[in-house]
Amino acid sequence: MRLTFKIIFALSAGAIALSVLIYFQFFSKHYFSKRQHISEQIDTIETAEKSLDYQVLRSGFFLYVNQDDIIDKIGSVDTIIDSLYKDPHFMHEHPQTLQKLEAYRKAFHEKTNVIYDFQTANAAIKNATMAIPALKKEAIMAFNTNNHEDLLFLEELTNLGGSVLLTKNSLDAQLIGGLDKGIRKMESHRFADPKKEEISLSVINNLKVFQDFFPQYKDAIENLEHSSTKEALTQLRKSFLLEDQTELNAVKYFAYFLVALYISSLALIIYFLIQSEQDARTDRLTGLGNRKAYESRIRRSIPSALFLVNIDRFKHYNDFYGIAAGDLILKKTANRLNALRKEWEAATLYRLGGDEFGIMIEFTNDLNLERLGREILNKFQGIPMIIEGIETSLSITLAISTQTPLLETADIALKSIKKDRVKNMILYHEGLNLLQVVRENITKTHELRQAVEHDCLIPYFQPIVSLKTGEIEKYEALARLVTEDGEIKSIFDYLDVVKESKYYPTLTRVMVKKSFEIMKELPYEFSINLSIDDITDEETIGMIKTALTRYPEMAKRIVFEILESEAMDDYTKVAEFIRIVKGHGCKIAIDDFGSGYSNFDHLLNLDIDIIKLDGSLIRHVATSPQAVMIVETIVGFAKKANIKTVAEFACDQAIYETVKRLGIDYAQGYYTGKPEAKPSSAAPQYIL
Amino acid sequence: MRRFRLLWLIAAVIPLSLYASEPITPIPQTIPYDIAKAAVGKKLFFDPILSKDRSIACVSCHNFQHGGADPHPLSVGIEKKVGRMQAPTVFNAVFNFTQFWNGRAKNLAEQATGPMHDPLEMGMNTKLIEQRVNNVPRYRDAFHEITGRSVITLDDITDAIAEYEKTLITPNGKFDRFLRGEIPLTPSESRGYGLFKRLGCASCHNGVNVGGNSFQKFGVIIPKKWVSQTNDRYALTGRESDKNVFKVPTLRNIALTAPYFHDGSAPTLKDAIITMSKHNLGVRLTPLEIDELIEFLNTLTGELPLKAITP
Repeated sequence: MRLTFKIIFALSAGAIALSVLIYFQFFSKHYFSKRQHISEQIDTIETAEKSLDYQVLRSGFFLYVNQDDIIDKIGSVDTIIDSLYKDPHFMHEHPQTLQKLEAYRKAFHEKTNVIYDFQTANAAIKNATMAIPALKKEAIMAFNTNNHEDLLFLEELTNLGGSVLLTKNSLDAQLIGGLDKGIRKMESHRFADPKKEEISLSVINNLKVFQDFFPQYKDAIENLEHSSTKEALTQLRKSFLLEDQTELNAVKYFAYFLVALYISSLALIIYFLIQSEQDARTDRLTGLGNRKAYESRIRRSIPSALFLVNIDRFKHYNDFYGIAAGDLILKKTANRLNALRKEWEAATLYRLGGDEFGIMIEFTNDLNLERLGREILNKFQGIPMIIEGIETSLSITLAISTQTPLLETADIALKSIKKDRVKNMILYHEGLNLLQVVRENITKTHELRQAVEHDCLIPYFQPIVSLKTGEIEKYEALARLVTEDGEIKSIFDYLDVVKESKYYPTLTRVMVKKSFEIMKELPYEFSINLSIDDITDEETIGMIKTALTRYPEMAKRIVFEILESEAMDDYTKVAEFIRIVKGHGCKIAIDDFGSGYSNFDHLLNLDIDIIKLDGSLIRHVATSPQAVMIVETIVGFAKKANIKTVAEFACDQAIYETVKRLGIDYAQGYYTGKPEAKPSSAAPQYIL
Repeated sequence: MRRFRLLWLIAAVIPLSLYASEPITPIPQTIPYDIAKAAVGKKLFFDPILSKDRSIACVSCHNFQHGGADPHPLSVGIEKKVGRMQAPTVFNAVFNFTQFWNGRAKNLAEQATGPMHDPLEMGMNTKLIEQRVNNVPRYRDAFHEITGRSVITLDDITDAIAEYEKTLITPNGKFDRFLRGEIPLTPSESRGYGLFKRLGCASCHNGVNVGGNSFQKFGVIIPKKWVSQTNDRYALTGRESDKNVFKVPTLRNIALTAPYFHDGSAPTLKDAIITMSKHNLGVRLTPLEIDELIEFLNTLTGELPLKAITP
């Protein structure tokens, strides 16, 4: 639910961000194109006006020009002004500039009228200025230079013609002063000759035109030169830029906002990444690093030492007090270990498995690992842990390794010490060679499977000698495995593997079947090993029962050796089995008695016939008084309970003599006879 | 193909460069206009409902038989009222920089309202004009197509008329073809054109319309008598210097548009030339010079837009 919410939140935030981005893109594109457009329009006005000024000046300069050019330029400025008035963006976003545009429009309208005035004056002035030299030429033809008055007229005409040109080109009204006087002078002289009179009047008329239009001409040019349009346009541009700047700032701040949004979203993503990475590397319960964290620490390949801490009998606490209490124990354990972090330099803590913790430190040769290990143990030894108000003395087992792979080696060391149950700390060393064991286990499993599939499990028979008579009285069937290359191997090495595999019941059944086959023809008593697992296996029991029923004669020769173990708590099943097989005349032996879980109670309750004393006792019987004492006790008990005794592991004469002296009934071992494929069919042998 | 294109370019540039310095430019073959508006504008141009007594239409004074101008010295309006001015030609009016003799209208649409509202001409008011036009289903439909509105305004009407007037141009006159380098002028026409420039006529009569691009004084050298009811520039500005100042009339189709001047005071082209040379240029022309000028002015008569002027 929370995740769904997060995803929806992220998606909608993304969608909003995207639409904001698209809007911004659209907005800024629109804005910049509008801005560009208006800016261009203002530039175009300026260019058109400059071009207009040029056309006006050109029309003043040349005799006749196409004045449509002037009108066209006026028209283009007017068109742009009108288009700006129709531009909604300009109208709404630039109120100040709009006022400036209005001012410019007025100024330009004035300028247009000045240009019209200029055109009017210009045509008159130009025609008059042009007419005077033409009239001068006519006058020279018509007037007589010998005549004084004619000469005066010509002189005056030359004078005034010059000053007209000078005045027009200098735009200096002062120079026109003489014109008035000259005109009056000319007017005062009339000519009788109509041709001369006509020329004279024409000259006077043209001079008057010049005199009349010159002020308008001059004003127009001066007005054009100092036209207020340029200033108005500058104001318009300034105002636009100012208002545009305000608008631009909005765009800018919006862009800043987007960038900020982008950065903060990145920060958020990084934060989430770090958090999820941390989450993935942290054990929820204890807050320590988890296996993943440990592995990434390993990858840094710094020489390190790993202290692997295992809580003893944790499963027991869990079962006994409940999972919540179990969790509490784990937490408290973590807390105690955590205290080390302050004491040790650069120690890192991990929860590596259910009840396994790892403490990792950088390894240097001067480190005293055992001393450090004891420090860890001291956190637990003698310091009770209060769980659910119950004082519990929690103990731990510690394995230390500096050999890579650290966790594997430490784990191997831990396993080895767990079997021992004496020490609570072990330092991994090559001697343990436990890695090799693991590899061998894999090979063995493979070989075992091969053996089962190809029917290569066979029984071997070791003789059991009567210590009274010294003759072979019976045999124990021992499983052997024939490897692919024909080698016969004791099943002993495979026993651990067999127990772990699904082939254990098969092994027992094969042994029962094949032993029966071989012993059918022979007169000896023989024993077959059964474990508690076999006795509780319905199929195996069923098969045994069938065999016993089919060979009632053989049944009387069979001894079932039952291995005592801690799991031997299902007495009813065991007792039931014993009752059945005894019904067929079989005997029952307890195997490996004195090794671990020997319980005299069992012997009495279960109607046992034989006790087989364990090799670990018999081995020391020739040298250790304690061993002798134990054996004597067992033998004493057995005799009273009418139980026969067998000494296993009778491997030399000293042991043989001792067990004989101690009153044990039978001996079995390399000294009395190695296991063989088939006992000889001869009559009972006397081997000693 | 590419080589031909280059030849075309050269052919186009050479005549351009030849008459680039000439003060007169040829009339274009067409100018862009809105066909739908022009069509309804044409009907309005011929329609007497635009005059108060339904006696006259635009075409009454802008007579296509007389070069788009009025053969009467002064235009006659409703109830035979005589106006103050001689109606100038509607042909090529689109090329004038302003409209009316004194340029009081800045474009054709603005001009069109003038005669309608003038009591001496069509004697209408805006309300009446709109009412009459709106009452004609044909106009309602046509304008609805154009504007999308159901009501026709005065602006719609004048806009349509102005659009129609864009079709009233007269290209391909002999002088334009000469300018384009297509045909030569006769020697006397050519001499007339030379006089036209040399004497100073071209100072005011230039551009595509041979006039219509500046305001000038009537009677520069020898002043003409000023008549107070004349609609000259003075009537607009009140400036003394604007008395007898008028928009320079076009000389296009000038041979067809007699009588001449703002008051129709010159019945013939010859009279007009004599008056102008005397009063505005201060010269007395010889009969030969007058003939040559007339020959030149005759080359300014263009092709009439027959389709546009046929009702």
